[in-house]
Amino acid sequence: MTTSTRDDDSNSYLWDRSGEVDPAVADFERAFGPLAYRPAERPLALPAPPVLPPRRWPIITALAAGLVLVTAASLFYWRLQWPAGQAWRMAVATESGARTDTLAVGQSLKLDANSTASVDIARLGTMSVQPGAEVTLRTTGSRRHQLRLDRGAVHIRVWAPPQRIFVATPAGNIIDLGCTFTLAVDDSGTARLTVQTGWVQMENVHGESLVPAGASSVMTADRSPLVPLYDDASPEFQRAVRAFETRVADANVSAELAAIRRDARGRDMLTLLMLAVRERDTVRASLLEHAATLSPPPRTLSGNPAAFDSNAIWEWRGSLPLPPPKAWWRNWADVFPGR
Amino acid sequence: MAGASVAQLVRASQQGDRDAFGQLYERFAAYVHAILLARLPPQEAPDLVQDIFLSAFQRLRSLREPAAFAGWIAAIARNRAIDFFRHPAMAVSDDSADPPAETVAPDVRLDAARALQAIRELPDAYRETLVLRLVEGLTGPEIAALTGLTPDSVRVNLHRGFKLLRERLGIAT
Repeated sequence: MTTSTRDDDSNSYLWDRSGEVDPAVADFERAFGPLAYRPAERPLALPAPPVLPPRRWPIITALAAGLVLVTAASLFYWRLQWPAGQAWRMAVATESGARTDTLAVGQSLKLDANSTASVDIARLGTMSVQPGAEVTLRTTGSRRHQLRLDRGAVHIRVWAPPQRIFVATPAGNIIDLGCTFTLAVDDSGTARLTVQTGWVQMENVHGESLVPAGASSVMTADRSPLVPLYDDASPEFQRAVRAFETRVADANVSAELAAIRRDARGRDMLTLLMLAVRERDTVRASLLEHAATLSPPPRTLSGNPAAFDSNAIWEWRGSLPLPPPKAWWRNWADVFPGR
Repeated sequence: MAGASVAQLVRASQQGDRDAFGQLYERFAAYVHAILLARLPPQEAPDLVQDIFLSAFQRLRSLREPAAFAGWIAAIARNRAIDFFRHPAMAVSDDSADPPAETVAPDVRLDAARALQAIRELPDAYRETLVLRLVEGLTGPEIAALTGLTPDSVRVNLHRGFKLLRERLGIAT
């Protein structure tokens, strides 16, 4: 190697190859030159991008979901279908044994005190007929099935769109809104309804009453169905409400009214408002005044609640936190026996 | 992406742009090679450069600050050099091996090997700078731009390192 060089900071050739060539630096450059890395002579061989398998899962999932939906829709449609006039299947248990049979349109099922029956309501649900009951199948079909219960009790479980099952009683009609309920008719023809899930409508020539799950009502032929009463309301409140509703005209009901106001809970707002909508003047005002202390009317209603008219009361009732009467699909568990 | 900044090239590479990573390779391969050459036998360095960039390409998504690519790739190279000596099979390589014979004239071959060994015995601060200047052929300003060091630091490293190198090799001033 050449030995001549400069070693001070003014060696501009060492810095940036400018100025006079420094022989010592140039010697190193010549010696090391072949070692320099030249990327152009050694192109980087990046691995080929991985070939991903086609993403089949989304397609398979979509197809499976579609298949499930189509199957469910088909099953549901099939469930609703029933040839007009076709009999129902039933199993009757008597003292002498059990037998399967059919309940034809026009046929009555009369059970003695020791017999029960389980009847398939087309494909929509089941009806458990209690001892001593007398049930007649009136019509069957995809749109509507009609029964008549003259006495005794039945427990009905239906999961279907509303108004598929009509049960006539001496007091009036019971219409399912997608629900589970128990209906009993006594010797006087009074119908007593207890609802387990969904809503049930009671109606006769005098009026109607919508009964939600957890509540009960009573219907007689001579008056409008009574207002719904929650089964967990206090016995005093229940007695006061029924006495108040069934009073003879112009009777003094101040004691019942006082008991209603004293024992009503927030959950009893439905009962209070349905009572109030059937009353007038000071009695209505008293009920509404107390109802406002339990659950204030919605902001859309202005003015003194005690002076509300029927429309305002219905609007107030609509604001209560109750499940919609026709949201039958919410009670999907009713599709399974045992409810 | 000609003229793109390092950060732009890194971001594009992180999105899978292989051409952008190719440009990073072209810009930083000499730097990585210099780091390896300052520590390892010269015949080991070229293949390791390729390995380091392939590894960097696969790990590039872990680099959160694209502008820090130079320091990141340099750290990978230094760690790889350390690993080289930890691996017994690799460490037996002949450290005094000559530069590639087909490209080096016989009269300078021995001097180059000696000089490179002398550089590897210099303090850390001088080694990489000297290799970048004398082997890779970069100027001081180019070294500063590539490594992120200040031009003054590079200038000091170059001149002091070169002086020490001459002394080690017994080259008179």
